[in-house]
Amino acid sequence: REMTANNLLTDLPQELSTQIFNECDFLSILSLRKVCHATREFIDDLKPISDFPIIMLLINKNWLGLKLENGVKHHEGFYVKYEKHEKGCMVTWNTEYGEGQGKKKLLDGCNFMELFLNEFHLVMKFQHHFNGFDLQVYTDTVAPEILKAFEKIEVEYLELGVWNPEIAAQMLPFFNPTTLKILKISSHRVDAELEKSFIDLTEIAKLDHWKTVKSLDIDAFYVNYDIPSFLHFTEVAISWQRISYEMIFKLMETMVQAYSLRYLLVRSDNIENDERLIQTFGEPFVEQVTSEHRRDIWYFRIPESEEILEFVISTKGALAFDRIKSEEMPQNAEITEVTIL
Amino acid sequence: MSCEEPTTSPTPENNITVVSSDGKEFLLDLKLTEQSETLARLISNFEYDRTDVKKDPVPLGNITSAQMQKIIEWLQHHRYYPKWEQNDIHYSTSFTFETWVEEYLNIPNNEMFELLNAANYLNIPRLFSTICRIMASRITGKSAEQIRTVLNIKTDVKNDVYTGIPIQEDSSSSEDGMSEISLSPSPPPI
Repeated sequence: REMTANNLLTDLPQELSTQIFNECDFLSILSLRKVCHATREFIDDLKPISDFPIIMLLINKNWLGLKLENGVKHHEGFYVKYEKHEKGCMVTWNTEYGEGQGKKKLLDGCNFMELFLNEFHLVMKFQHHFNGFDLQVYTDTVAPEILKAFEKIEVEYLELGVWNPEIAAQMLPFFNPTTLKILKISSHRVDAELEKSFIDLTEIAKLDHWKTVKSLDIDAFYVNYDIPSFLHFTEVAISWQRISYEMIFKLMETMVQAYSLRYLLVRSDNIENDERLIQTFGEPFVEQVTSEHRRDIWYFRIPESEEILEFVISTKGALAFDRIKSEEMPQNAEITEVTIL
Repeated sequence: MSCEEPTTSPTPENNITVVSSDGKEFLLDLKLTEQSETLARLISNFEYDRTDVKKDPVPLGNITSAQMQKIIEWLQHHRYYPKWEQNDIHYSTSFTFETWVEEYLNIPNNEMFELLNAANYLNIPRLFSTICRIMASRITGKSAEQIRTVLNIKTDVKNDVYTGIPIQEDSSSSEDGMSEISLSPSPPPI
């Protein structure tokens, strides 16, 4: 290769140039790839960076966004938006160097999706494992070109934000279930101040992810699934349209015997918190957080355990079960003994 | 500044002699050699820190006299600095340098790389890390074209003016041409 002789970076012993590349930020590495073929090959062999633990993709009909966050070495982030334009693609980009000032350029005759996919491919080429992957889909379906760009991605925390709950079941298989620990599925309906809709978990519950995930949060979707299907998780947060007194009683019975499930949060704007609870569980320990916000708390003895089951009904529209140590209880609170039949 | 006329003349007890590749001898204060892990290990192995041990000149076959002078200048400047600590996992690259360091490393690239090689050979971690960071800081925030200027590289890639996608097809670039625009922000404000 004739130009290699001029290439000072690749003329250094590899261990030394690697050290220089390791000090470079992500954007510089991408620029270096375009300097000449020698640096490109060198960087592609070396994969000097896997520096961004967190990635976010935004998928809209007419624009796509790619955001990389928490760069380890430079504590950096960068965000590029690819927008469909009558003449091609409008690209807007931000880095933390620019202190939030975005730059814009119209790329004549370029396809916004192609540009986005090129850069997404590159990110994936350098980095196969993410701590966090945030995928926000604002369309009703995901274009096949985009689906093709996804290969078993290793990620610990996955957030899927969707309008259409079926997209969540469609996207989940693209993520490696063995690394996945935390899964959050949320609805865009709440941001738009629309009423919550239901999510059908039947397909998702058939996937390996359902078995490997430790913490599951389904936000702003109602679920029909009953608690026994969630018992193998460690932490669960879900929403129910309505929670009756009978449901609360059954939840308490289940949670007092639950082995894996240590924390359960059920959101609902319709919780039956009436005198029947006091008749059954006794007087709650009342925590008046603010004048509007009150928490009614009961403590239940867990058979054959040092731990106590804390049960909270919050006026903010949620109830929560949590396992705590007895010394974490307020001193004047009482423990309700439970007899399981 | 010159190392051939040291301001404090080392006595035989507290110095060693190193010989550069072109045969020039340098008297080095033992205190200075602490910054070089290579020299420090050698001194400890041969017990050159003892006054009753005969000290032979140490040949440094990879280092020219010009480089040795430059390195001694570094060692003298950092004589009283605390020992260099290795980076931990929370390490964040800093592109801020002492003025003295900026001036010291205001040298052509070829000299910079020779110095990096020498710092690696003598194992002077502070100098090594500083050169890497200086080089990275000259690359950071620059477009491919600007990097070519900084590193004095003639390109073998013909980029489309707008997209930066290489026109000249080859196996390594055809499938992943980058949009130059989105990935080459302007240099950071100083």
